[in-house]
Amino acid sequence: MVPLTHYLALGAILFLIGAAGVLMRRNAIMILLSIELMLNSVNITFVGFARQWADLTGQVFAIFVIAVAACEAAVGLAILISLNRDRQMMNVDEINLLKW
Amino acid sequence: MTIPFPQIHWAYLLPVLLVVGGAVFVLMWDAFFPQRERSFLVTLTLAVLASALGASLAAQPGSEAASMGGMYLYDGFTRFVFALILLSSFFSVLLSAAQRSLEEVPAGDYLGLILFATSGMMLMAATRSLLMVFVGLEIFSLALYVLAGFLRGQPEGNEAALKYFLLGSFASGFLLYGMALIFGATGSVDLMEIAQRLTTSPPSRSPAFLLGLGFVVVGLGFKVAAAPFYMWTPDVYEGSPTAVTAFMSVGPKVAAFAAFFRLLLAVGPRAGAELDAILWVMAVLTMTAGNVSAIWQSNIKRMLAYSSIAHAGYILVALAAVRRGSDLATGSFLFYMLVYALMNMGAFCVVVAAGARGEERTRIEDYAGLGYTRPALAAAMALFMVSLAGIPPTGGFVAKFYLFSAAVKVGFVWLPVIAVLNSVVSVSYYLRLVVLMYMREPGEAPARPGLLGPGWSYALAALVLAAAGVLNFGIFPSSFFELALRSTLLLN
Repeated sequence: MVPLTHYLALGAILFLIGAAGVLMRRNAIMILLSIELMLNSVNITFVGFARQWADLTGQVFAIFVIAVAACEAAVGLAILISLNRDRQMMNVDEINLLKW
Repeated sequence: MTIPFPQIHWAYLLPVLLVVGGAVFVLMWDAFFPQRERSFLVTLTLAVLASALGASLAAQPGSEAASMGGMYLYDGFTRFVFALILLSSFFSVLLSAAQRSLEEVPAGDYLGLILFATSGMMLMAATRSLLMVFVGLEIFSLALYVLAGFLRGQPEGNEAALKYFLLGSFASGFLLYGMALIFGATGSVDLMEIAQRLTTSPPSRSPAFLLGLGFVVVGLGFKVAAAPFYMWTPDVYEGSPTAVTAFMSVGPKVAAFAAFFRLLLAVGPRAGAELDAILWVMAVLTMTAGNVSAIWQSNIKRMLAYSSIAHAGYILVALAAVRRGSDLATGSFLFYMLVYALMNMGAFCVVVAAGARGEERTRIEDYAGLGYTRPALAAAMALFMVSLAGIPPTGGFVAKFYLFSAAVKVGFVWLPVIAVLNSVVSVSYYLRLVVLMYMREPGEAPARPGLLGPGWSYALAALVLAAAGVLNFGIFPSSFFELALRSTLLLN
């Protein structure tokens, strides 16, 4: 049986990779993927804890997170397409009309 | 296996149902009858919001406040917060109808998104389940990301939407990870159960719980634009359509602060002094950063963005007092939000009304001499600026007075002092605009009131409502303040 700490460690490592990706990547699509990685690390953590407490709430929470992540991807990609039509680029450093 | 049907109090649920139903109806109507006049949908949306407001005022919260296992909570606090959220949506629909650059957008999509965002804010404020806090937050955030970039032809709007979306989702990740850790430490996502478990078997000192609480504070701090997570605010406020900016500066803040209050009321007294220090530092940083940055702005939307950051800092003072168990602070928070909603909406309404088709007046320089060309508009702006600065006899002064005195009563000394000093600093940039309007000659050819277009009646209604409210709360505050105080009675 896989102990709880494995789930938590995996979740924490994925979360850190995701957060580092958001901060260091410059391509907007890669940032979006990094955010998805963060959300999925949350799911692993939730499911691990749900098993620990023998409480389904954590798994239900994970399903809600998956649903919201799908909506977020849809809205995010739509915004990216709209921006790309406008200016033909994906690099967040070039998005500087407004003072950053 | 039988699944028991949860107990549902329909009268309590009615305000949310009305808003969601209205959103679907508005969206569908525009899809089936696209050639209908825009004013019909605007009137319909206003009617939906007004009836939801009526329904929430009519539903007296009783002893059975919680339905669906605490997922939906209807108490006095919820009722007051619902009124605040619906009021701010009402104003933003009025402003959207008045704004010339929004005339060409598909009205059904736009108004539907405003209503969906409203429902998300209501759900986020009316729950003690962390799951619903998250779902409500995402409902209104996703709608607002789209609304920020609704004018697709404008590069600034697209940019604001992208920045808001990327940073908002990043913050959601932190919020969720924090919720997962809190669930892991306590075994529940229900704030009441979490509070109980913290008292019986104290995991409140466990690193997982404190780390989780910290992450949740980061996530919520982002949504209310508290330091050091406010960097997105000026850019997003500047790039979004002005009516949407007005909505963003009030509605999400009310909802996120309401959730923040419920969290602190439940776990605050048991979470220890670390939280006290964090809130203290956040409050001081937020109001100082907001006020100092606002002084240098040349764009009025950016200035109002920094001003809203400063006001979030004042409200964090109330949060710190709530953690020490002050009911007075919760009441002052509700009253403050009411006044803040009116004066901020009023100020944005002047920005909308001063603009013309194709050229919005967003530079502060554009307001030079407005007192001569558009005296009524300038007088309204002066009133809102005086109120935002917190000068009597306006509502802004009374609200700040209640808020800071609540902090003094629970033993804070330096926090209220720093807050008052900050208010003094803020006078400089608020009154700079007033001076500019009255003491300088108009720079360009005066804009004729006719440029406002067919939406002027909406702008007028919003201005009169906001100005009357700000003056009323400044001169006769007591009845509404008592209402706010009574709204906190049933909490926990």
